[in-house]
Amino acid sequence: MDKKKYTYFDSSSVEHCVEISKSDFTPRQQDKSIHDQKFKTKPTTFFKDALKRFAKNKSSVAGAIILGTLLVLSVLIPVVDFSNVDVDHPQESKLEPKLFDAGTGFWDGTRRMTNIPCDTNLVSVVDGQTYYYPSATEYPSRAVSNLSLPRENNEINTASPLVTGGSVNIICDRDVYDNTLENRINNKATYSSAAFNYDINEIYGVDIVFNGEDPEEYTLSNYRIYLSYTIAGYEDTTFETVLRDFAADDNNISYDDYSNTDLMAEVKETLEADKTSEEPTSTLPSDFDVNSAQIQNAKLVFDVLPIQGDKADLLIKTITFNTNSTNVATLDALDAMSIKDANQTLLLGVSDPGYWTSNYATVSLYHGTSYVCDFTFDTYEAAYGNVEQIVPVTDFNTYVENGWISALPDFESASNSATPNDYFLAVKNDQTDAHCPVITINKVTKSSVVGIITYNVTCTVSKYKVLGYTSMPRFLWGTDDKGKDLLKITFIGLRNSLGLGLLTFIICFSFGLVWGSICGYFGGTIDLILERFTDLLSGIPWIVIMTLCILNLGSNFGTFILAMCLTGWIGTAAITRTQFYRFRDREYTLACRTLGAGNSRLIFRHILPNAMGTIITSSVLMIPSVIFTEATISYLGLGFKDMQSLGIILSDNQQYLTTYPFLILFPSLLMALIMISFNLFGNGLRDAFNPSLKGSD
Amino acid sequence: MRKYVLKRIGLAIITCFIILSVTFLLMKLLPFQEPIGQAIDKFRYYNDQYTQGFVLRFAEEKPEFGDYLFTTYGTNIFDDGTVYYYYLRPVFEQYISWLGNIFTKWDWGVSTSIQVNVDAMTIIGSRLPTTISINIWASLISVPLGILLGIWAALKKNKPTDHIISTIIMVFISVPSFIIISLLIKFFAYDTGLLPSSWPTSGASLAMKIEGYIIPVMSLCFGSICGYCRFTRAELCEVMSSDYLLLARTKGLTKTQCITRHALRNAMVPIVPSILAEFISVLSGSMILENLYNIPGIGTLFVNALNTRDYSVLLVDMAVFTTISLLAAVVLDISYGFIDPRIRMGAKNNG
Repeated sequence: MDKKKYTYFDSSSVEHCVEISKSDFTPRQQDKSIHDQKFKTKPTTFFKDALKRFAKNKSSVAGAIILGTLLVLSVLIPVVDFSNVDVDHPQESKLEPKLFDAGTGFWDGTRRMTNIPCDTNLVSVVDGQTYYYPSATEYPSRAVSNLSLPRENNEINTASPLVTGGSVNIICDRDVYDNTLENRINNKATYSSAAFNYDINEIYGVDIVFNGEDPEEYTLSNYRIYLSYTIAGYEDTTFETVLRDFAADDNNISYDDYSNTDLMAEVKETLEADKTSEEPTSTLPSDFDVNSAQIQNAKLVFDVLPIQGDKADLLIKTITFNTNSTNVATLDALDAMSIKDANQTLLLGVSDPGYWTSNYATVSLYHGTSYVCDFTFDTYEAAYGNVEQIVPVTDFNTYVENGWISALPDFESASNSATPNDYFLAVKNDQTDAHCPVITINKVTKSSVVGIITYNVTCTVSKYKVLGYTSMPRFLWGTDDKGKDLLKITFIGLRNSLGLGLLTFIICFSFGLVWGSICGYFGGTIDLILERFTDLLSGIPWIVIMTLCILNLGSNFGTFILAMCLTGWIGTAAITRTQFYRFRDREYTLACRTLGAGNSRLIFRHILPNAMGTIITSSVLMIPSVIFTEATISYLGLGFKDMQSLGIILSDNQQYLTTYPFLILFPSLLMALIMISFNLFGNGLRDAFNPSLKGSD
Repeated sequence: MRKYVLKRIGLAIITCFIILSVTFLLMKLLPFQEPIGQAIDKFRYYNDQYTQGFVLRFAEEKPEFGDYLFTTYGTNIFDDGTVYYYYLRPVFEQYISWLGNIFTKWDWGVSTSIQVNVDAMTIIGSRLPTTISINIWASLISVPLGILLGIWAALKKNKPTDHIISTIIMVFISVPSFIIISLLIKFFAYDTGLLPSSWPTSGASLAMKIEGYIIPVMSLCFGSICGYCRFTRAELCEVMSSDYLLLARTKGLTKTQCITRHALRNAMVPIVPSILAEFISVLSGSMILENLYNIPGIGTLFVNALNTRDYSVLLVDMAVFTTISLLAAVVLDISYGFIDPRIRMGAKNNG
């Protein structure tokens, strides 16, 4: 074997000599195909890679988990929770949230009540201290605990049988746009007495005592007092005899007490003036005899004029009518009409003879006096506790039919017995304790009317069993003003809101994708025309679109989807367009095209898969924004009427923000949670699909 | 540049015109809304509609036009006993009259229920100052605060400060504004009693009026501070990682010099236009805030008009919203051109 000799110089210029023969070389690989070898590492796709990046982002994963849980819950809770939310339960309204037993002090279904007027007839003496309980109908004593000592309060602004004194507060809260007199008079509020037929030849007087204090929230307003009435035979015209007029004068309004000893003299003056006036303003003929006029439906009226941007009011302490007539009916009627005690007058029902009516005015009590106390009120005990009441005998028949008791108790013997409950125990069976509302029979009295014997059975009754529960209910989130389980309706609302969001997303996404890809792929004139259209559409504020849809199509689920979708797709279309522009001119697309690929292959095999990640991630945040928009619209009172949603629950309960804050708190927390987790999730997705944007949230 | 500006403004005006026309036509397709009030108010309204060209008036009944809207029969409005019948014109004729009234007399119609027979423009005009003043105060506070917070977060990127700021901002951006406003009102007005629970009345003292601004301004600020901060942080972070900033550092500039002279200036290019646009768009006000706090602004007016179906007021209100949002978009586009030297120079070179 021949060897070849090679010489070379090393770095220090010394000559070396090596001999190499062919056998020194061995082929590394012979007779094998030299195709690509399989990767040692696992192959990965774009989506898997994105998923890996997503999993690294802890907050986004947390967001995704919370979101997933809420999604599952929103489907599960409406199914699993059996409380009926289709009908109202007035007896169970506004129960506090209850997780722990009553008395725990936290989340236990109790509410701390302060400054509640108490009834001086309900006395309880403990350790020498006298306690007064609040009104038993509203706050049954079984539900009241931790009662404080009573104290006198003379700033009570709610009329109640337990309050005395105070003033009638006539409030005009109508919104006026400028302070012109005409505008204010057009928007005045009135408070008027019951109608009374005065005899024009008698003498009547009226004393009005004002309360000149300026209440904190309101401003004492301009006012006018007059007698309004008709004359028999001329019923079409309403006459007004003005007693005091501070309507026109802005500066010198006086709240001094008013007294008039002869109202009829003023009335006569009015009628005389009408009689003698010129044709268009005159109603009465010139030969009309004023002294024989029959006054009908005369009402003492107070006009309260609104003030721009302010709540105007007028405070009246007492009004006393008097007369020299000795007619008992007249005296009674005038007495009933007089306001002696503002609180009493305000409590009168519409059918009462002394009832005062208001028109555009809110009338309330101002600074009445009462004893008040503080206490802890167990709402569950009040709604579901045991009460003593008379149970009709027919109810016992129903219990027998249902199998709750084996037979009717022997009422005849019970009515003669000192221990009537023994007869109830005799018919009790296993089911009685679980279902039968009656716990014990306390008293049975017998009465007989025309030979028919009836029994009055006084029992201790469990109210929750009457309402159909087998154990004391416990509402985790409490109940709303209609007595519906807040937890359930909130999650039903969440489900509907999410459904709205998802549906809108699907529609907008599909449409935007098609529109954007047409713009981006074909470009040129088509793009230009379509872009102009998008420009026009995106210039319309969402509130305008929403309003027009609601006005024209009514407020329902379909309208909302339509309104959201009308402009919602623009975002998706824009991002699709940019992505298509980006990938359309890439080298690999060009290579494909040269190899003969058609438009559809290019779009669906090469461009779309690359663009999809970015498009989806930037569109998915549409869902929370739809939920947000829907909530906002509902909050303004324009939400859909046919179903529940988060926004509707929040806006319905807004009025209870200060009184029952839990009604706002729980739905708000849920709303905040879903928004936060959606944003975390969405941002995480975007970072995962588009690492170059990372951090720019 | 001038050509570009004119083109943008022209496009915005055309867009505005088309949107308002469509809005008008859609609203006129709705059932006709009677004005509220006495017969004399109604008569004044219909007479006004007649002079504006929205309804027809005849001295006798014309069944071929369908049901009449209003008649003076039996009202004794005219002393000589003249009876008029009013009929609705076709929608497109009304549209033409409407355009004519706006372009010749700047007459946008009168209110039917908010304030009967008062010019809708006057009503809006009386409500705008309140909305604008609240929003200007909110902007004055939120712009500097938001940008400073954003800069701070960007400079401390990926440090605890940044995380805390970013988390707070994420929370405030996610939680709907009405929840924040409700909580603010509950806490400051009802629980502690520090501030008034609704917008002070026109007769209130100066101190009361100033106190009344606090909750609205605060609730508007939360949202915009978060927005500005997030945007500033994102922009500044991007600039901070650019090559020219590295070059500036290697040239020997200190970190402060680098940030103030190079990073901030470049980051401001997109920030300033967005602030301008935001500033204009907040003028449309927060409808929710105005309703919750009883602020007599254009937001409450909008909701009231919608609930009482006062279409003229609604249309003018919508016109205000549309104009503002289009104006914001135009300002955004144009201010880019003025602020970014690259665009400015580019435009100049191209003629």
